[in-house]
Amino acid sequence: MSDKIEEILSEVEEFAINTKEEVESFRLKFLSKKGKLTAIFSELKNIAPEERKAFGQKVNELKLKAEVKWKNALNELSDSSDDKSSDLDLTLPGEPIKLGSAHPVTIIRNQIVDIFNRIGYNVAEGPEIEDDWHNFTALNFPPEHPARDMQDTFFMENLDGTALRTHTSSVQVRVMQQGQPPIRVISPGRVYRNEAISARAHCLFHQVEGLYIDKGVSFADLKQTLLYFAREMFGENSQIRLRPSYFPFTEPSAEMDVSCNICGGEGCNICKQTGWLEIMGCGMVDPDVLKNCGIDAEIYSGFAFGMGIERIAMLKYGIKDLRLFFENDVRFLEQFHNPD
Amino acid sequence: MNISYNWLGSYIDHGMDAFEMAEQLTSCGLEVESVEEYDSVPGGLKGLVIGHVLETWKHPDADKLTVTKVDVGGGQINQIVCGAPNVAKDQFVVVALPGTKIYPVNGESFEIRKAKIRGELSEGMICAEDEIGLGTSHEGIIILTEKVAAGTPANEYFRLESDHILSIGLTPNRADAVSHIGVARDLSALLRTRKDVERKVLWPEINAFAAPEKIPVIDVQVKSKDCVRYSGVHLRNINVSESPDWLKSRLLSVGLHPINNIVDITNFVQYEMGQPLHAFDASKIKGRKVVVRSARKGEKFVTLDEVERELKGSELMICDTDNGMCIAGVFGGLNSGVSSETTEVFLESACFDPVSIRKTSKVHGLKTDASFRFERGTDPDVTIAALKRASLLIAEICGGEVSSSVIDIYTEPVRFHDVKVSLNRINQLNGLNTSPDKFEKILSSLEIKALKESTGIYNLQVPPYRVDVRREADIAEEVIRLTGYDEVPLPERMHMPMPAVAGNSPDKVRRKLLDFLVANGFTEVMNNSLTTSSHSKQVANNISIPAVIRNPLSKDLDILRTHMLFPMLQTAVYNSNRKRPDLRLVENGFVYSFADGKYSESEKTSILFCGNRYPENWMNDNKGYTPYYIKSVLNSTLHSFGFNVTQLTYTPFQHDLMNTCMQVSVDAKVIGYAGKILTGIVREFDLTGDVWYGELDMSALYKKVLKVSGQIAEPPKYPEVRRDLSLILDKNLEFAQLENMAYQTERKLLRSVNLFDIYEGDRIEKGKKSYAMSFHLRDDEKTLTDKDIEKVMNKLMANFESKLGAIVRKS
Repeated sequence: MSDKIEEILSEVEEFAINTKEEVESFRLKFLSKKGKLTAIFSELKNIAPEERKAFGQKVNELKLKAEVKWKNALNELSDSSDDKSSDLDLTLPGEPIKLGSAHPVTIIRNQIVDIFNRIGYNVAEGPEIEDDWHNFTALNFPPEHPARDMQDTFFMENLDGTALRTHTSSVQVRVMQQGQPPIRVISPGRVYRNEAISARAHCLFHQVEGLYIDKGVSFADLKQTLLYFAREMFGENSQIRLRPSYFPFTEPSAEMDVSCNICGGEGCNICKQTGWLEIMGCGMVDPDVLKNCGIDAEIYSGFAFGMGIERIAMLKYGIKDLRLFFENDVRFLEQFHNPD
Repeated sequence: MNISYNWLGSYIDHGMDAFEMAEQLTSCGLEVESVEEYDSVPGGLKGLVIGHVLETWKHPDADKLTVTKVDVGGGQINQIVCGAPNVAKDQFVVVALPGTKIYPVNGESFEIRKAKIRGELSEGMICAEDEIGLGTSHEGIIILTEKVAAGTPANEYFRLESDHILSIGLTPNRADAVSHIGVARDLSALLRTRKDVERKVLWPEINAFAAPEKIPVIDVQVKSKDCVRYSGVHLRNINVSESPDWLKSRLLSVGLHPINNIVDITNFVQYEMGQPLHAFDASKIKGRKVVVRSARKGEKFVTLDEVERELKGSELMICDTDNGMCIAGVFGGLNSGVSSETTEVFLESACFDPVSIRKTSKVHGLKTDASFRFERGTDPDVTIAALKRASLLIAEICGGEVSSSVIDIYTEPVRFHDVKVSLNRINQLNGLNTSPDKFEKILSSLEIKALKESTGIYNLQVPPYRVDVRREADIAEEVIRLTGYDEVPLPERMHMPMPAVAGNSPDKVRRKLLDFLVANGFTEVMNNSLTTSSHSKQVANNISIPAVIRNPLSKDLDILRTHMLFPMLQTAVYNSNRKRPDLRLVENGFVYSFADGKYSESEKTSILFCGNRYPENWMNDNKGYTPYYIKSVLNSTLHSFGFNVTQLTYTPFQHDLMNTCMQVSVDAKVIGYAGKILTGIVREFDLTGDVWYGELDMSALYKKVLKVSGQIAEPPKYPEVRRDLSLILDKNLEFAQLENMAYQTERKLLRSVNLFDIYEGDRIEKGKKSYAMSFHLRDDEKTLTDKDIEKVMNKLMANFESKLGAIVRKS
C-alpha cells in the first residue's frame, strides 16, 4: 500500500502546471471526487486496524502536498483583477472620516477623577451660584477677614448674599452637611474670579477639590495620597514637596510642588529654574469647618486638597496662554484627538 | 512684603546667606517669592573713594576749570581737573579713580580714564550727585560735611553695602511676621527647632528713653472700643529735614520713598517692629486734645492725597477738639501731618480692631502699609516699645526731645490666650512623633508658656502677638511647620475605608455621552458661562430672568448664560472667520436663571453643525446637513445609552430661534430638541449657510438612563425572512402611520419595517407618493413556511389598502 502512496507522490511532484487548463486537469486527476487521492482514502477500510493510523497519516501528508501545489498554481495563473493591486495609488487621500476631539480641560479633569476613583473617591458636584455661607463663612472666611481678599468675587444681583463660587471647596461643605464620615469625594467644576482676562488669569476656570474625612486621618496620609497622585499624573519618578501655606479652611495648610516634568528637576523656563512646579493647595480640614458642617472634630479628622485643571493642562501640554481654553479655536482643540 | 537681608541681620545672628535664608523661611511658612540683589545706587559706587582736596589752582588754559591735588588714600595723591565752581582746598569729596565705571542718573554709564584736559593731567574725577546716581543735584560736586579718612570706599561711607531683598508673600494669618523683628523671631524659633542653635532676637536698645512725669501736654480721650490701646508722646524742638543716608538707604531698600526725617523714622520703626506709628504736627492739634471716636455719617475729611472723602460713620477717626485729623490706622489727613515748618510732634502708637480697619480700608479703597498691618492684627504689647524706639531716633536724628509723659490708654488689656492641648492628638494629626522635650522647646521658642497638666496634656498661654494661634490645630501647625513638612514620614500602607457605591452617576453618563459624540466627529468646546445680556433679548417669549452679575468685568460679561446657543454661535463665527466653516461642535455645561426667589442651574449638552458634512474630497458628495441626518445623530446617541427604537419618538417643535425643529422623547418624556437656526439669527452672528443646533437636557437623560434594563436577548434560533412591498400613498400620509399599522396587524411575527425608497414625481398621480418598504418576519418557535409568510403579507396589504387607502403595486 505504501508503495502506491509513494507512486502517487512522485506523480504529484512531477506534474507540470504551466497553464490554467493544466491547473484544472491536476485537480481532476488528484483532488476531485474521482481523483486518485479520493480513491486511496477509500482503501483505508481495507487496512489492518494496527496499521491504519500510520497509513492515514501518510495519505494526509500526500493530500496536503497536492493541495498546496494546486493552490499556489491557481493563485499564480489567475487573471482576476480583484486579486491584483497594480493600479492602486495609495498616495491618494482616503475617504474622509471626521475625527472628533475632547476639550483638554475635559481630558485632564477625567484623568484626575480616574486617578482618585482608583483609591475610592467618588465624584460629588455642587452649584456654581453659591450663598456666602457655603463659599466663605462655613469655610472659615469670616466676614471682614483679609482672607476674603485672596479671591476676587463676582457677586450676584438678583439675590443678596449670593456669589459665583470662587472655589470648588464649597462642595466640601455640602457633602459634609449631607452625610457622616467616612467621606471620600472628588469635586470637579467651574469656578469664577473677578480678574481681568489675560494669558495668565481668567474670570472662569476649573478646579478639582478632594476631601477625605475619617477617624485618625493624618497629614502623613495627605502626603502619601498626593505623592500617588503626582506619580500617576506626571510620571512615576515624580517627587513632591510640601510648603507651609495658609487657607482659612485647613490647618495645617500646605502648597504642593511637583518636580518639574519638563527638565526633570534640573531647572528650566517652565519651572523658573527652581526644578519645582506649584500644583495645588492642601491641608488638614480645620476643626471649625468640621464643626460648621455638623461633624464631630473630636472624633474625626481629614484632609482636603484643590487644584486648577487648566494649570495642570498647561503644564502637561506646554500651553502658555490661558485664554486658549475658552477661545474655542478648533485649530487648537483638534490637536487633542488622542492625547495623554 | 519686602525684607532686607542686611537689615534683618541687625536683629539676629543667623549665620545663613540670603538664599539659604529664603529656603528656610519658605519651609516654615513665610514664602519667599523672590530674592533680588539690591544696590541702592546703580553700580553700588564700586571703585569710588573719598578724597581729601589738598591744593587747588586755576587751570592755565580754561576759565571754568580748576586743577586740584587730591589725597585718595594709600599715600597716593592724584592731580584731577575739576569743572565744578564749588571745589576748594580742604574739602572731602567723592573721587572716581581711573578704571572706575560710573552710572550717571541721566545718560549712559562710562569708564573714567587718565587723560589730559587742555594740557593738564587729570587722574580721575571729582563727582557730583547726579554723575554717580546718588541724587539729582548737579549744582556742584558732593562736599562731605565731616572729615573722613582719604581712601575710604564711597560705598562704605554711604553705607552702600550690597544687599539682598527677600520678597515674602505673606499669608493673611501671619500678622506676627509683618516686620524685620517678626521674621527674625521665626528664624530664631526655626534655628532652635531644626538646628538646636540658640539665637535670640536682638531688640533695639530703648532703655535710654526718658520722659518727664505727669506732663501730658496733649490730652487723649478714647471714645470707641475699636481702639484697643492708644499710646502717645509729645516731642518738641524738632528740626524737620532730610533723613541721614543710612535711614534713607534702609527705606529705599524695602521699596519705601524717603519723605522727611520724622515720617521716615515712623516708617522705619513700622518695618522694624511691625507697629504702625503716626506723627501729628502738635501745633495743629486744636485744643491740645486728641479724641479717638467713630466718624459722623456724612462728615467730610480731606486725606493726605488731597481727596475729600465723605465718611460713612463706621470709620474710626483720630480728631482734635474741632475736626478729624486722621482715619485711624488707614490714612493721614492733609492738614495734620508733619511739614518742614513743624517743630513739635505728637507721636501715636496704637492698636486698633482689625475688622474695623479692614471695613474702612475697603469702603474707601485705601490700602496702606498701616492698614495692611492693622487689619491682620498688631501686637498690643509692642506699642510702648515702638514709641520709645521712635522717640530715641527722633532725638538722635531730628534734634528733638521728649516733652510729655507717655500717654497709654489701655482699658481692657489683651490677655494671653489659653489653649489646652494633647500632644498625642497633635502627633496623630501631624503624622509626626514629636517628643515632649522637642514640643516644649518649640513652644518656648514661640514665647508660648506651657504648663504640663499630666503626661502629654498641656495648658498653654499664647502671647497676643500670635493672633492666629487659638486652638489645638493651630499649635499642631506651629509644630509641623517648624519641624518641617519634609520630616513627615510616608506611611507604607494606605489606610482607607470601603469606597461608597458610585452607581450610574451623572459623571459617568456625561462622560459616556461626550465620548460617543467625540468618537463621531464632534469637537468639544467650552464657552464662557459669563456672557452678555443683549443676546437673550432676541428670544421673543423668554420668560426666565437671567442671573445677573452685580460687579461684572464688562458689559459683555454681565450675566450668566440663559442659552447654550448664543455662545455656541459666537464660537462658530470665531472659527468661520479663521477659514474653518465646516464645524461639528459639542459643549456640556449649564444655563442659569432666577425664578421664585432662587437661582437654578440646568445642565445641557448642546451640539452645533454648520458647513459641509465632510471636508472637501474626491470621493464623497460634499453635502450639507439635513433634518434626517440630525435626527440620526440624536437617535444613535440615545441608542448608545440602551434606549430602543420603540422608546424614542420625534415630534415637531416650535422654537423661537429655529425652524424645521424636532423634539425627541424617551418614553414620552421630552429629553431634547434640534433644528435649523432662523436665517435672521444666523445673519446677525455674521454666519452664512444653514446652521443646525440641538440640545439634550441632562437631568432628564440621567433619570431615564437609570431605568434602562440592560437585558440582552439571545440571537434568534430560526431564520428571518424579508418581503418587499411597493405602495402608492397619499402624499400626506406619515411613515409612522404605516409602521404602526404594520405592527398592529402582525404583532407576533413582524420584527422590523424599513423604508428603502421614496418616489414623488411625474410617473405617479399628483398628490401621491410611492414607498418601497421591506418587512422582516421571524417566528421564534419554528422556521416560517411560504404559507405562513403569505398569510401575513396578505393581511398587511389588506389593511394598508382598506385603512390607509394605499394601492399595492404588483410587480
